[in-house]
Amino acid sequence: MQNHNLEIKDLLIDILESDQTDIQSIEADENLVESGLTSLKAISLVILIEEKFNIVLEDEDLLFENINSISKINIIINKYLVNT
Amino acid sequence: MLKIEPIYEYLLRKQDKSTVERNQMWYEQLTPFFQDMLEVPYAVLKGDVLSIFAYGGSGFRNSHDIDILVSRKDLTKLHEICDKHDFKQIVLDDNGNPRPLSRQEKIMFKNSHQVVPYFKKLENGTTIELDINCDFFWAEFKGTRIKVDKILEEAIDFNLHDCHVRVLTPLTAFVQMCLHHYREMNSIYIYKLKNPITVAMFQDIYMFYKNHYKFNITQLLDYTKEHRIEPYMYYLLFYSNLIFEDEALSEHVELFRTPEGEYLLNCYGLTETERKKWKCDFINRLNRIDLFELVENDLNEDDKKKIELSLSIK
Repeated sequence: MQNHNLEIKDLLIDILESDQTDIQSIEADENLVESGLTSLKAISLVILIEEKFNIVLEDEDLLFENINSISKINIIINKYLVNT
Repeated sequence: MLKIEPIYEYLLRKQDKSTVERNQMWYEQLTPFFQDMLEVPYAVLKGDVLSIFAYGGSGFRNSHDIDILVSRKDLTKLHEICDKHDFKQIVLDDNGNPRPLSRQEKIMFKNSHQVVPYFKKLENGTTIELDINCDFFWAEFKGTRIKVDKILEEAIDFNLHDCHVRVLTPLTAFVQMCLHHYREMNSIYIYKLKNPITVAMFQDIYMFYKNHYKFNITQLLDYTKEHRIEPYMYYLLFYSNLIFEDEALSEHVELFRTPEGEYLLNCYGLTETERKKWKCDFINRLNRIDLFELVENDLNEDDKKKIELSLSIK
């Protein structure tokens, strides 16, 4: 599985409006809600992920619980990149 | 006879004959649909069921739609049944014309307690809206969720205007109504549309409680404690008692008191991050026309964007 953590963290800098140092310190399995990921920001995050990686998430993958950590986002991205 | 301040009397719900006739027409035309709905566990919520449970008859609550509770796992089957009966999932633009959901709206719906509503044209040319609920709670609720599957297992048969439907037991219907009313009264998005903190909403709670429709206060308390929803029940019973001054309710309210419930009495917002203190007391919030103006200055940019997004599909 390819590691997209750097690209994901770049997106999080925009979404969470945090600086690079704060984002870099987020652990892969840490719940992003604790870093300020609200439901509205999660919607924007899904859209940015889709644009950045040129993928379209299926309905069942749109649930916030599937993207609430860096490792989960990585899994989702790899799932769709493998299928394209 | 309700014990209530005279200034509130005109705000009380009363039975409306045209609503009764409209509901009769709805359920008569939807009888075949509800016949097929027996294929999935479901329950009709609120609306005329609540009118009958709380007020003893149809037509006390004028709903513009029919609400149904189903499990998320049955949404595909539900969609097939709706499709068979010419229900279409659409949202309407500002001119009332159907339009597709934006990607943002689709993601929002996927993560909310509701799904995109269905609409069906009836024989008389009017349209009926079917709202599908998959949860008792709001999307951001962090506590232990009441399992919808288990609730639906206990749903009961009910004759609604000669239409056979399934409804929640009176106990779970009361709890569902309370959680629904709490959510409405504390949702900043709803304040933009209307003031949900009304005498009529508390009247629903009081009348249902007063009629003790086949459940008693001990059962309700046990259920409340089991599902850790005391703060919300306390909030609703406390204010219902404030408006309707009932001796029995005054005693029962105390059974539901918790520190968190007391804290919630003067707050609005559904999550820890949204929650703020009201700047005026309850009496000044009740049925106030400009409720949104009281909270507008407290909203951050995130709150305002969320309101816009929620309202875009109303």
